[in-house]
Amino acid sequence: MEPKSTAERIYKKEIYDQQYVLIHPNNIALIGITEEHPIIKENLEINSISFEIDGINRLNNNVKGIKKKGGRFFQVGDTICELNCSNQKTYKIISPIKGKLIEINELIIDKHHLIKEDNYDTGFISIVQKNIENTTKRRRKNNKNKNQTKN
Amino acid sequence: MGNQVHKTDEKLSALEINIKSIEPQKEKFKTLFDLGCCFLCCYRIVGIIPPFEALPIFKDFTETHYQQIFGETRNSKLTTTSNSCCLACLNLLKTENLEKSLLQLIKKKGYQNIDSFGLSITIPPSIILREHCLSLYVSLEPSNIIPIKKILKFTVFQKSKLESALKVPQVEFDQACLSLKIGWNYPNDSQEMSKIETLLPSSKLKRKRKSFKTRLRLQAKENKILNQKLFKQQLKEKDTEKEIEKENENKKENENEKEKEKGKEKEKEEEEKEKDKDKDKDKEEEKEKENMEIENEKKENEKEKEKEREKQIKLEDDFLGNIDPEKQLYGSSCIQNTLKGITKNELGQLCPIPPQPVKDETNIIIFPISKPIYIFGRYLKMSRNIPNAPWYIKGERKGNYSVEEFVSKQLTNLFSGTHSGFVSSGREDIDVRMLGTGRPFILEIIGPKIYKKLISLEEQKQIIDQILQNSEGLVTVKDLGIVDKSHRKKTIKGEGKSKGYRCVVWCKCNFNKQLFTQKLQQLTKNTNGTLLLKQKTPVRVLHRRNLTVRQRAIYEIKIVEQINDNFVVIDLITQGGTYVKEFICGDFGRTNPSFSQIVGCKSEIVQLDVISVN
Repeated sequence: MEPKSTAERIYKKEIYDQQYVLIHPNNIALIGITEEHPIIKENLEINSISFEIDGINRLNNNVKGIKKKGGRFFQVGDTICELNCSNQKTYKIISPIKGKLIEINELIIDKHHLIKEDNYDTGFISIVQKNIENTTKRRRKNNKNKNQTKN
Repeated sequence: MGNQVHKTDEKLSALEINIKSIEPQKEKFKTLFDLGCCFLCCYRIVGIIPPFEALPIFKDFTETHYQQIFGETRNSKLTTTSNSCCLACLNLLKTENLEKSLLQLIKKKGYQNIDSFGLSITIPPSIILREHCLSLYVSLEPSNIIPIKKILKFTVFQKSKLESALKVPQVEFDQACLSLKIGWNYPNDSQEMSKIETLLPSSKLKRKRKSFKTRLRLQAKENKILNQKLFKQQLKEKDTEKEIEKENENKKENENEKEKEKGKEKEKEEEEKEKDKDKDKDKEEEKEKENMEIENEKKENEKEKEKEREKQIKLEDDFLGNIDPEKQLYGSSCIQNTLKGITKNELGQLCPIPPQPVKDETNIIIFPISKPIYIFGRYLKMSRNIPNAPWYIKGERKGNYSVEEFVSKQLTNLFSGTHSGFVSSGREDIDVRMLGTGRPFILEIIGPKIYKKLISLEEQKQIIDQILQNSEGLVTVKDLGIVDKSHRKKTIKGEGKSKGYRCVVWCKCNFNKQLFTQKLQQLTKNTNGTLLLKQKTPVRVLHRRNLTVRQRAIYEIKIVEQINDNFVVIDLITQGGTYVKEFICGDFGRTNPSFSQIVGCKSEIVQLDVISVN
């Protein structure tokens, strides 16, 4: 009889097209790859990871304070990083939710094999703070815009 | 006869003393006295210290005294009416029976075992204006005026009188057991000061400035609230009375209707014969109705008069202990300094010189504040479902119980306070028990009425039994005692010391004791047995904490029992502030080194208890 791990007990799992998102009730999410990704299916080796995309390095993300100011904002479909594999293909990792980047996993930078072996625990890729929808501020903004367009 | 001789001797001597002291400024004294100031205020404005021993005999001031002092008869036009009050002090210096009202307050609210008391007095600022205008009217320097508080100290608020009445020493306001705020309710205050407040510098405001309209509105609100309290009581009485009246009226209406119907039937039956009689009956009924209405009106008028009389008595009672006297907008010295720079002509345009007479409508307000009591103790929690403090999510309450409520209710009832504040040195999660020594806390009881210096053993037992009963055996309390305010900071800062835990751990692979101890010794060679950790803020807490790396230490790890190949019971002694759950499970690889790294495979925590808080 095995007790459940914390990831199964508390976090909600959502699967987006070979990537998973684990969401905690306080709206902080972990992103990683599932077992159906070709890296795990075909047992490829990762040679290098590049975090610099369009001139911006994701590793230079500095976050300050409780409200996490200064984090890079991701829309749905933005790339986080690119994995260069042994069969000379590059796989992009996309953020499937809107949110602010807090941190990238530091263990991956040196030990690339963790993404393959321990993809749910220590092989996650990044931590993102999810945007809360339908807060009172946004409702008021949307209503203001609606009234202006009407008038 | 002998007593009268003594009295006249005393009066003559008092008169002589007063006559001697008035001599340097006799004419100005007379003009002020004829305008309508009281005796003490004339002394004050002229600038002479009054002889306090000879004054209290002058309650019944007759024309003979006037002749003896000033040598002239009084001008009948300038006599003061019975309703008006002194122009300068608004009858503040004539308050009587202060000790009675204080004792009444203490009885009404129920204070017991008071050690000391203190006073703070606030004066309506229009008094400063009036003094200034009167001194200018008589062409004297306003800087020579003796302030009114000095005279109040010697006449109304005499220390010896109050101490003998309350049987308790008087002490400074901040250190007293029962501190009393005293003020006066002068309704025209804001009107008179409105024009001069525009000239005062806004950098010296003591509280937020409100416009005249808002002040009137707020005064009306306060009166409404006062009257609402009275009216609620009266409404209850009214409702019962109304019900009784309605029932009576309904009965009478029914009777009248029945009579009408009977009359109508009779009319129909006997139109020709008994028309006149029916008309007479109707007239009689109308007359009866009119009489009833007149009687009802009379009764209502009488009731209203009685209620007004009761209102006045109750309002005077409600001024004792229910209203807080308003803070002044500006200090008295600030007003005096600005008034120095204004000439007499400019002042004459802003406010009347000499000031106008007013009705005697000021009331004294007394508001008591009692010193808070601090209680120290340790609490234990034996359940995994009760939070520390009441838990609200988006305005709704989750759960019904909390440790804070169990502990604070019983203790506030002991001292009969209004509410309390709970502070403990550290907290724990919902699913963690608190056993062993217990966690120290301090409870601050606000507004207590019963003062004690010790909690006896019997009272402790009673409290513990009641708390156990209310919480069904899940929360208790230990080591209660009364403490000073300085202990509050110490308990809050005591988080940095060591804590003891006991937890049940599950490992995926088989657990081997010897391998574990060998690895531990390798890691702790240089540091004499303590494990040094580096923890990033865990994910479950990231939404309300900064992202930093914390360095913590674990002083001891002991293996108590091995239940299975996979289940182990461990004792830990750690530095305060470590996240124990993350130390054991690893938190996605963000704490190094973790328990799972030492063992070599995944491990999860199943149950956690706090054993000691040092």
